[in-house]
Amino acid sequence: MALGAIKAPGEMGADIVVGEGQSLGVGLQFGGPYVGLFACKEKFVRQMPGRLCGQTVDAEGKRGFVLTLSTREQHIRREKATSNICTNSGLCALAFSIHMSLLGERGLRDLAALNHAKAVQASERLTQIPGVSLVNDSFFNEFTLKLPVNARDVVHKLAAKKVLGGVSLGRLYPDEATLENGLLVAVTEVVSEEDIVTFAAALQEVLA
Amino acid sequence: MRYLPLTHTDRQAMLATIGAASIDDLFVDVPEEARLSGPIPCLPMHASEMAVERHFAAVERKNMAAAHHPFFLGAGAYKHHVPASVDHLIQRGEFLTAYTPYQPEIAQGTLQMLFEFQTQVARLFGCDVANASMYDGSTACWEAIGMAGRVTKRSKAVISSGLHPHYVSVAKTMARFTGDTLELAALDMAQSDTQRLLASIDGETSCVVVQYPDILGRIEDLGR
Repeated sequence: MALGAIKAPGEMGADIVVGEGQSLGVGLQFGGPYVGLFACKEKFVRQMPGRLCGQTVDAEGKRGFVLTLSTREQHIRREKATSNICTNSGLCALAFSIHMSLLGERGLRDLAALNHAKAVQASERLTQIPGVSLVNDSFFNEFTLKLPVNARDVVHKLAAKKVLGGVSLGRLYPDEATLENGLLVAVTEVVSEEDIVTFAAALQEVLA
Repeated sequence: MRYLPLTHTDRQAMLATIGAASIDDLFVDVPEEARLSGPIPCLPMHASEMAVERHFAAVERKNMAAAHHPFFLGAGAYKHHVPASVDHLIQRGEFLTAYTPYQPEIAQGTLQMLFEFQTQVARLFGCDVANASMYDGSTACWEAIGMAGRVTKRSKAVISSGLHPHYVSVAKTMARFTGDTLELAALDMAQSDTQRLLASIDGETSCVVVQYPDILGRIEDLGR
């Protein structure tokens, strides 16, 4: 979704670009299944893993579609295969595609702008709390706060106040003491102004 | 789920057919210490369907569901609004029950969907071509490292410290079996490690992996 607001990696010269597509059309659903996105420059297309669907014409000249470069393990020797995708993945790709179609280019940009605006609003409110500072120079809809205390404890105390207040860096990097006060906060379009106020009040209480 | 009841006689008949004296005989290959010696503690042998439902409903209420509370979790998985039309359309039988479209004669709808998906991804990423999806972001990331190795015939991937630690973990697991080398560094909240990445590139480097925005949410123009 960030790419509705910031420059595409391909435009910055990346040869291969991959991503997680869960944000569009696919819910959290207990951590999966999600949808992996994979793109590259045309000159590398034969080395690209997975399935590629191509457009062609049938014997009567009518437009049709067919799997073209398909290096599935069912089709070629297993050790040479570069695809191991399953049938259900197609359904998650469909959900992504339908949501993207419903949004259109304009809708995606508007939704991205809304995400960013909410995140800015939350970051401004949260950094008013004494001892809380913003780590990022820039962000889209997710930013890191530096707290005066261990963020992992804060997350649990917030949960006791019925607020799911972010992911602590201590959870992601349990062995890195220098990161333990870091709190990663995501703010999407589903977050209401009331949610931000509730979060800020709870954080202030926990840190007091 | 289907309910398939078995009587004691059914079980005995099946065991007799395969020459086993008891159910436990089927598990003799599992080491003794890994086997449960009796019933699961605290779990009754029988309960009515209503009692089971009531029990699990009570257990479920102990969870904090994302939809019920102020929710600010992300780190790779995000709670966004999914329009009702998305679920309605993907659950249509033509899509929901469609198998991998090996046969274009009967799978034009699914194939066109994949083609449109590829077009959307390629445009979103600013790339020439996209494939018809991978499992998720972490496996796609590993596949990209593998592909870079095939293209360059080199095996050292330089990994940004801003890459999601779970993605790094998937890459590490895969690299154990392929022999690829992953060059990693510790994450620093004060600054990104773009300069280290540039300095690390040498004749053995197959690719440089950078997350954008990175794990802390930082955005850096990588075109510079």
